[in-house]
Amino acid sequence: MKKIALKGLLIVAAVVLLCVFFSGTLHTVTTAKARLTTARTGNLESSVTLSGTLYCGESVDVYSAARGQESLTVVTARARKGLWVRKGETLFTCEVTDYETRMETLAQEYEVKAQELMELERKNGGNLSAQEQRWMDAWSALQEAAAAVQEARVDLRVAAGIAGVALTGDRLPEDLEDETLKAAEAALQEALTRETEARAAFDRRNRLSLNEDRIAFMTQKADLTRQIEKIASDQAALRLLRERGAVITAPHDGYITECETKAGDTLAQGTAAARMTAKDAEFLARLAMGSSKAVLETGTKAELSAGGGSVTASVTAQGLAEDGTACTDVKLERADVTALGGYEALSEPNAISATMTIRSEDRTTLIPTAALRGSQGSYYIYVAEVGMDAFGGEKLTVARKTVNVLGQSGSVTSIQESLRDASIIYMEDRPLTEGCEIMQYENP
Amino acid sequence: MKSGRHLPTRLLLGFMAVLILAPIAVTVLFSFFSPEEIKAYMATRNDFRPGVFMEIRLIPHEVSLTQYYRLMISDRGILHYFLNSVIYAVMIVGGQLLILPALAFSLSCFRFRGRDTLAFLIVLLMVLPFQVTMVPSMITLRTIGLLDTRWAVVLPMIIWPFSVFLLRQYMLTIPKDTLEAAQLDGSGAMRSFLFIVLPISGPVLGTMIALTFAECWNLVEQPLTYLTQRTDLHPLSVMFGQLSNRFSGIEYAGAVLFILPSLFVYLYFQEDISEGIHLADYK
Repeated sequence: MKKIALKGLLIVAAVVLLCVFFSGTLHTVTTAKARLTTARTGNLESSVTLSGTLYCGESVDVYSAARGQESLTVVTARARKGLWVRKGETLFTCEVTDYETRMETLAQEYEVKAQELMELERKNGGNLSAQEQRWMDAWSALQEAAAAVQEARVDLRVAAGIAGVALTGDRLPEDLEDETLKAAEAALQEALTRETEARAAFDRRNRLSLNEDRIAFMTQKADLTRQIEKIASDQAALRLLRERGAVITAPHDGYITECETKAGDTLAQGTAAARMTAKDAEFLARLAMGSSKAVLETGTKAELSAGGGSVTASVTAQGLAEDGTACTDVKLERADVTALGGYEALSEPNAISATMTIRSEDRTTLIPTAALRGSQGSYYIYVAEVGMDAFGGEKLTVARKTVNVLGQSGSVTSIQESLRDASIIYMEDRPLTEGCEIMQYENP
Repeated sequence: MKSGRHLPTRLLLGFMAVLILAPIAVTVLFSFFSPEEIKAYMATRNDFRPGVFMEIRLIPHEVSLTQYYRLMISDRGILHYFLNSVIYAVMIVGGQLLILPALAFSLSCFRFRGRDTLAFLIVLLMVLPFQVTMVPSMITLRTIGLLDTRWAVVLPMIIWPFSVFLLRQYMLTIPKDTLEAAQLDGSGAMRSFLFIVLPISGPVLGTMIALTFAECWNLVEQPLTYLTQRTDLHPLSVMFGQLSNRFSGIEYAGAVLFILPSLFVYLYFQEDISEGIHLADYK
């Protein structure tokens, strides 16, 4: 019995001593360890990253000075897509196409008509009498009045056609209030009145019973004179075109948006040599919202990056683009466009990447997302409660607390509950259950 | 017929043994319940409605060592107090073994004026309850600066009157002839004490150790009185009450741990105690 008692005593002593020395280690090994944090109150910030392209509004054409049948041949083309140009800056240098040939042709025509006029005058006695001159003037006036009526009638019909208004003869509907159409109608009526007056004047002159041969001579002479004047006018225009149309300049400051014209190309009347941004156009980074439902307030700071560069700008508007897709516009200065790589680079699809930070309006309780547990509709967190062990020593135990999630943004979650002074458990090293003991990780 | 004559006695003794051992057995069995199960079971107490009886459960639904784990590793504060109890027991028993046999020898084998008076005073101290001597002891300890130290508990217990009485009474029965023979052989008092009296007093020394161990293992009043500011020096016997008050679910494992040292010490010195009683009867 003594041996048994001694062995028992030694075993108890050994167990107690082992527990004294190793219980701390065993307790540490077998107890879950977790980091503790406290909730803070603040505005939930979330970031939205969008991509888009540079938008400058509608472009305008840059025309050559070619008129009528004339055309210009491009000698040098300085303009290219993406180039920033100032008002008056040379875009193209040109020369009138076949200038010498055209001038020679006109000179020949002028010579022919002048010869015909001289011949006509020689055959018919040259100078007109006073009576004949007055008849000639009345006839010319009538011709001009008729031409004016024709022009006014065409203008009225074009304006009515554009407005979708049906004319009754040369009259507009009586209840029409369109001032432009009414002005065109008034112009037509005035032209008709002048034509009537001119006809009346011509009829008075026509009662003079002039010789038919003289009438034929006068009409031919008037016609030849008109042709000669036109040829002279063409010569002057061609010469003016040569002087002034040699250079095509930028009408205002802006970026060249399109330019297919190159040296050797021919530019006729109405042909745009290039397209550029409109005068005083705004430069916007138009960012596609995609699937994002974020609401970006005007003035929200945006970090834009493209082509290795980055700038900071502000949101100016959020709405729908021309194709009906949701978009956000961020206004850029010209320096920003340059910093991001220039117009040509930014006009590529999704060339610009923008990151915007949204702050919620209300201050709520914010916790690390790593501390949130559960699933949609049944979220909860674990908090550490200070309990007492058998001898009054403090120990941390896990308590479960249901929470209502208001929003999440990356590593931060906003919840409805106030968790003042609560120690929230996160980053534990093993699964936890409610009521189990934990130890706190402490930074070394 | 012999067995029939002793049967009522045996039955009575058996019944008393069961009564005495039942709480210990229940304590040991309950120590293998999980804390949650024991708490749930204890929550069914205090229901005094007529016809409602508390279930008697001795076997747990699931045998669990959780109580021992929490006791020894998780809530390991008990080990600190257990060690305090061991320290007090070792110091007190060791101090008594060092001093009391010599004191008893001098009070039994030497003749000097006032010997019996001194012995009577020691017996008187044995009769007085602790509450009577508590205040003078406290004043003395405070005066000499030992209050709130381990010595405040150890020193008063070393000179335990009962141990002195027990040893003296036994040494009085040692034949004088034995000591005289040793004297004749040239043995002095110290040699006689060490080589004759002490070996002869083996049984009673074992009894003294066992009883002293039982006494100081269950110290409650002295630590509470002399260690008011130093609860970290309290023995397990004092803190066990706190453990029970909190009802932490590990009381039964704590009780088993508390019982084991006393049990083994008693088992070790059981023969000495029996022999001591037998010798007393014989004399």
